[in-house]
This record gives sequence, structure tokens and C-alpha cells, in this order.
Amino acid sequence: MIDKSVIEISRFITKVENQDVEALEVLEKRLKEKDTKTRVIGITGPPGAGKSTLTNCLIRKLSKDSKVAVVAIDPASLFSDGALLGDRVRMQEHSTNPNVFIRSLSNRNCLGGLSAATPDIIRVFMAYDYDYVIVETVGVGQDEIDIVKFSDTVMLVLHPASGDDMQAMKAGVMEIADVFVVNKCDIKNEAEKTFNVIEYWVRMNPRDWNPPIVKTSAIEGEGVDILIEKLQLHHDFIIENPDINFRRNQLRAKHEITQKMQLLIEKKISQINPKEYDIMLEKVIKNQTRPLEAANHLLKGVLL
Amino acid sequence: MAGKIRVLIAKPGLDGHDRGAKVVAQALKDAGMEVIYTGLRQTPEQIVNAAIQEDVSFIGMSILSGAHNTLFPKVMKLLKENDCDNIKVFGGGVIPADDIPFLKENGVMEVFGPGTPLTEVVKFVKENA
Ligand SMILES: Nc1nc2c(ncn2[C@@H]2O[C@H](COP(=O)(O)OP(=O)(O)O)[C@@H](O)[C@H]2O)c(=O)[nH]1
Ligand SMILES: [Mg+2]
Repeated sequence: MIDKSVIEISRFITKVENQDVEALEVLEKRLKEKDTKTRVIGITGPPGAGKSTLTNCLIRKLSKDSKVAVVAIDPASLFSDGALLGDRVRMQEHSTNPNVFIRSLSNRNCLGGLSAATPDIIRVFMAYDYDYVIVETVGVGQDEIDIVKFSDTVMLVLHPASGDDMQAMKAGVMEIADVFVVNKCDIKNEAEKTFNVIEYWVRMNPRDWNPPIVKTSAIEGEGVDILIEKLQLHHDFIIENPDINFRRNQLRAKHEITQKMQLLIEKKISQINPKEYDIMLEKVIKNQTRPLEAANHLLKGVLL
Repeated sequence: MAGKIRVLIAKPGLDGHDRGAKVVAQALKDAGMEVIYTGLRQTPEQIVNAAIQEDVSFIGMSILSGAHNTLFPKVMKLLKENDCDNIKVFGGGVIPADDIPFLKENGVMEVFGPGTPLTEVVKFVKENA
């Protein structure tokens, strides 16, 4: 039998993903009187770098004595709004492990590397006392930096021939990395080159925390122990330096308030009386009312 | 806010290629659905666990190995045991017409023969969502 809580969490996530305001209120209430110990690890990097395969390696180690949730996000089609979510393929060995919960998400055409509901879904796992939440971002954009607001530690995974990718990524994505990973180190020479490029970049951009660079081969499980060690080091560092996290928390809070305001306003808009809307529509088409005037009128009816 | 139709496409059994499953997955995606693809050689336990974690409304299984008469009933049984038989199951691959009544008796909602137009699969999912 599959644990009942799994079914409960899963259905709850669906409501949260669809931004059901009642479910979000339940979630906030559950978290209010809670001191969560959940660690959120964000994984970003170009498509094909091995994010999902590496996540699989992390689950293998971490789930031995911890509860691990994975949230894997793939892009929606711009044309159909549909999505093909394939990250599970690399993690199928954990499908029946009761310590592991994997959820695939479409970004639902949200920019920034996450879906709008991802932060709330991370919090669902916090509410259910998962020890780790690993978030795999879309991995397509050059500006997928929202992940930094919602993770304790961000890993940037690059593959050996990432020299060009790094040019394309510019500073933004490099700056949010707490740990760099050069994956596919079974492909020898190229990996060394990428390692050196990152090392140079890190030296040129000193910070309070100097991000380590770890070489892995996710396919052979090489380097994963060292990676986990570095993740732990970063965790210890932020515990010892709470002020470091202040800026991150500020960004997170701003993002969240704005997103929730948008959500509530959208909900109000959906409450506009369709008849009244049609009247306004007609007037705008006939040039009897200007669009801004119509919008003002319609909103006044539902706000407050 | 309306949710999306979520479908899990699985490829159980030992046969090693998944072209058909991927084509169906793509068609459902193009029809606006969120399709979770789980890869080759899935056991019924893996499929049901994944379907529950992903909270899908449908499981579509493609079976070429001839093991459909054991794999489908096993998935149906696991869904029932876990009180998740609200998840609808359909299948495709190479399944002889003679076997279809048995599968339907076991709760499989629809079985598509080889060469079924993709539009028919899409229509089935939309109508039963
Ligand atoms: N040679 C080699 N291939 C790998 C390694 N890690 C992943 N791959 C392969 O790279 C491809 C993309 O991996 P995936 O994890 O899906 O990348 P993602 O798009 O970043 O999630 C797959 O074919 C993997 O098998 C590795 O360490 N070495
Ligand atoms: Mg991936």
C-alpha cells in the first residue's frame, strides 16, 4: 500500500498548482506554527547538462536516511500550452521508494525558470516535513534566476563543452551559483577546460562565500559524495552567517507579495459580471468608451 | 483557475522501444495537455506510484511485448488497492482484438489498436477528462 499521505500531498499540490486560494490559505495556516527544517536545493544549468541524472544521484544518497522531494520543471509549449515532462525518466529507480516524492511541473509559460506556483509547491513539502526539496529548473533561459529566491543552496550544472554556454549565460546565472558542478567528467579533456574557465571566473568575482567547483560523472555516480559534502559546507555557512541570507529573503518576500497580489487581483477580475463586461466590450468596439475607462469601471465594481 | 489535464504515458514490460509511446505523448502535448513520460521498462508498481505522485487523471500504457493480459490487470489492481481507481487507464501497442474484452472487464477504459489515428486518442482523453 502506498502511504495515504502521499495521495493527500499529491492532490494538495494540484490545488496549489492551480493557485486555488483556499488551498493556499490552508497551506499558510499549516506553516504558521511550524519551524521547518527543510533544505531547498536548486539545480539549474543548460539543457542536457545532466541536471536530472545528477538529481537521481543525490536522491540515491540522501533518501537513505531522509525524506526527499523533487520538483522538476519543464517548459510548456508556446503554441498549445501543453507540456511534455520527461525528467522522471532519469529517476525511475526511486519511483517506489517511500522516502522519495517526485513531481513534474510545466512552467506554464512563466519566465524565470520556475512556474508561478513552484514556491508554493516547495512549501507543501515543508508543511509535510520533507528533509530536502530538490528543484530542477527549466534550464532553457539565460535568466533563470528566480530559483535563488527560493533555495538555500543553488547548484549550477554545466557540461564539459559549456564554454559557449557560459558566454551566453552572462553574469546573472553564474552569480547565483553557490556550488558549480562540471558534469560528464567521464569526457576528459573538455571537462578540464570548463573547470578552468569557472575557476578563473570565481577568482575574478570574489564573494563572502567562494563557490566550490565539483567535478562529477552523474552517469557513473562519480563525485557525488564530494558534491554532497560541498552542499553541506554551504548549508553550514549560511547557518553561521544569517545576514548573508538577508538579501535573499528580501528578494523572496518581495516576489511572493507581488505574486500573491497579482493572484488576488486576477481572482477579482474573474468575478466581473460577464453581462457588464459585454456591455463595456460593445461600447469599446463602437468607440463610445475608451479601454482604460472601461477597465476602470469594471474593476470598480469588484475591488473592495 | 482551471487545471490542466495531466496524463502519464508509460511503457511497461521488457520490449525495448518506445517510439509509439512518444508519438502519443507528443500528440497529447500538442492538444494542450501536460504529459508525464516515465521511460522504458516500468513495473506496474512504478507506474502506479508515479501516477499517484503526479496526480494524473489518466494512465496510457503502450505494450508491444504481448504481456498486456498480465500488466493491465496488475495496474488496475494496484490502483484499486490504493483507492485511486478514479485514474482512468487506456492502452495501445499491439493488442489482439480478441483480448480487448478481457482487458475492459478488468477496468481498462479503452484500447487502441495499431494504426489508430492520434486524433482519436486525443478525443478520447478530452471527452473523458
Ligand atoms: N557521458 C555522460 N553523460 C551523462 C552524464 N550525466 C548525464 N548524461 C547524459 O546526458 C543526457 C542529458 O541528461 P539529463 O540528466 O536529462 O540532463 P538535463 O536536461 O540537464 O536534466 C542524458 O542522455 C544522460 O544520460 C555523465 O555524467 N556523463
Ligand atoms: Mg532534466
